[in-house]
Amino acid sequence: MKEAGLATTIGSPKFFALKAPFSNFDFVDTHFDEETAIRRLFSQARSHGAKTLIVEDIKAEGVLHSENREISKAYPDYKMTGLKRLSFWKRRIQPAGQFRLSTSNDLIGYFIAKKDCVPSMQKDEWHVFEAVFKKYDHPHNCVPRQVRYPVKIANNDFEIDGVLYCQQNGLNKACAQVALRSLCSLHIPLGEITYEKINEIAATAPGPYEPKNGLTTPQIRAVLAGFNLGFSDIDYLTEPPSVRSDLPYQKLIYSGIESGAGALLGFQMATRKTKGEKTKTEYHSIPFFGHTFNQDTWVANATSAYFKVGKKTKYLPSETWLSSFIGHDDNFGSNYCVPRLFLKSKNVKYALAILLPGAMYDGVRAETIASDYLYSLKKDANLATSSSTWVKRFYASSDQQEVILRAISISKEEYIAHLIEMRDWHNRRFPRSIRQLSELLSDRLWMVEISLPELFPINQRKLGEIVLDATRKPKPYIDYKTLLFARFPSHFFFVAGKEKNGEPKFLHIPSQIKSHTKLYIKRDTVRLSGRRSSHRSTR
Amino acid sequence: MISYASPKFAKKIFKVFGAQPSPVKISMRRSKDVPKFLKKFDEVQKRTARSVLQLD
Repeated sequence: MKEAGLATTIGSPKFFALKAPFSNFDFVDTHFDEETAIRRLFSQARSHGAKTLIVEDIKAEGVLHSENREISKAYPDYKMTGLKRLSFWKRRIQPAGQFRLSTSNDLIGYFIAKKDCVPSMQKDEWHVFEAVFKKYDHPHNCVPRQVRYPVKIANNDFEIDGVLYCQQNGLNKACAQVALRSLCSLHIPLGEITYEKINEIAATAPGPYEPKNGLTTPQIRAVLAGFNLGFSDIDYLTEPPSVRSDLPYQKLIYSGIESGAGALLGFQMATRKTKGEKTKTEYHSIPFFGHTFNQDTWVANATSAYFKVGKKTKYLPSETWLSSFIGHDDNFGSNYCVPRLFLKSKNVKYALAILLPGAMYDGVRAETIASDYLYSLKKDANLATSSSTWVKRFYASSDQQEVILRAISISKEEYIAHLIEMRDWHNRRFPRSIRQLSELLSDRLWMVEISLPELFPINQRKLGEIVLDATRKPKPYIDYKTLLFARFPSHFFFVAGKEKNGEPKFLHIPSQIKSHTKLYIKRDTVRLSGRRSSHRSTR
Repeated sequence: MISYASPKFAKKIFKVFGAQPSPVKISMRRSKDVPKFLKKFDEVQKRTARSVLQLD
């Protein structure tokens, strides 16, 4: 189905120079009834230094037509009273001639504003059907996976990198549907993610369904399953407080974000009490897809930074250096930073991490399992007597349980590419034959990186990793079936069968990499729509 | 994917690294921390699978 961004222009586009006396506030007041989310998009354009705004009326085709058809079925007096595509440009562009010279590099972002009118509901409001804006270009603003979305502006084809933002209209979509469309668009071509399809799948879940009221958790699960996306979720609503501290929502959200899969958070809004009515509690949901990183975070040296699996097992999770999650709030706009500790855990009711294809469990489990293997492997004589200075430093830190772990979901091809690119501090590398390690790996892995304080936050380097098979779900007891191998400076430990008591047999082999190496920093931009399907990775 | 328990495995390791791997015995630690954590996580998610929470 035709993506909304590719809808055909009607009439001539209008060009506006965004220099004073042009006022974003006046423009939004005059043309979009003071809509808050649209104000935010104009502000984002300004922060990127936008010099030109192009406004086009567009036809309701493809995904847009699908939505109108769906609303009309539910509200026979429905009519669409406005549909515009607005795009923001870095350069000053005069109409026609100059515009032909513009490239995708000049494009800051676009949004489609749609006005839905249902007289029987006294409703005639603008909302943002969809928007894509470039992320804030700062190295500590981390978005592991972005999509290169196609967009047609003034009948010319362009592309824009970002993560899709959508807003609810209170008719056929609420915050849950629009959050899911954002998250699904990280993995599925936009033309396939219509609200008709989302609502059709949601309706198959048990229970009554009214799209304007949002989605229940079974409906959310049904939609993700309908799009073939795996997930790991926790409903905190009825759990005792201990679950909030033992399984903090931040860990699950982070595990979805850091692997580039995305995450969804459901939380309690302020309760409302109107005269004569019962108190009403409302739950809102927002998608997350990135985070900020602060290498100078003080909390890393505080006891509270530890993740305590139990009395004898703790480690420093890498998200300790994360300041904010990056996500959209459909009520307020796109690409917001939500401080990691801003939402109190008692107000968070639901957390969901999307799993990348083939993964059967989340990064929270992967990290925890890896911590157990890590402390077991310390008992090995090869490691304990290693002449490697870095292994000695690992022992010194791990004796205090000051080891940093970071779980990344990775395909075996990505992991092999990572090993091929890997150089230690003395520029040593693996032999070319390292490619053949591929035959020993499952298609999807959890790579749990091992690092130390001071090596991790500023240097962004690591000592090695515990590599787990992500394609088989771990048992709630340690069955040693998920561990594939562990890599340390100068040492590899491969699991090679089982002892009679069920414990793993290991094969030790020296490693050519003898000191620390770069962390795996995922920065993918994928093109999912149209005929071309490609993948660009920048590390 | 070659089974890590198969005899082919050590040969493959030799091919990849150009050195003979040596078997080592490591007795795994017996802390119950991680199994308890995984069990708790599984139980919470079993309850989650039955939950019906309405998100606007």
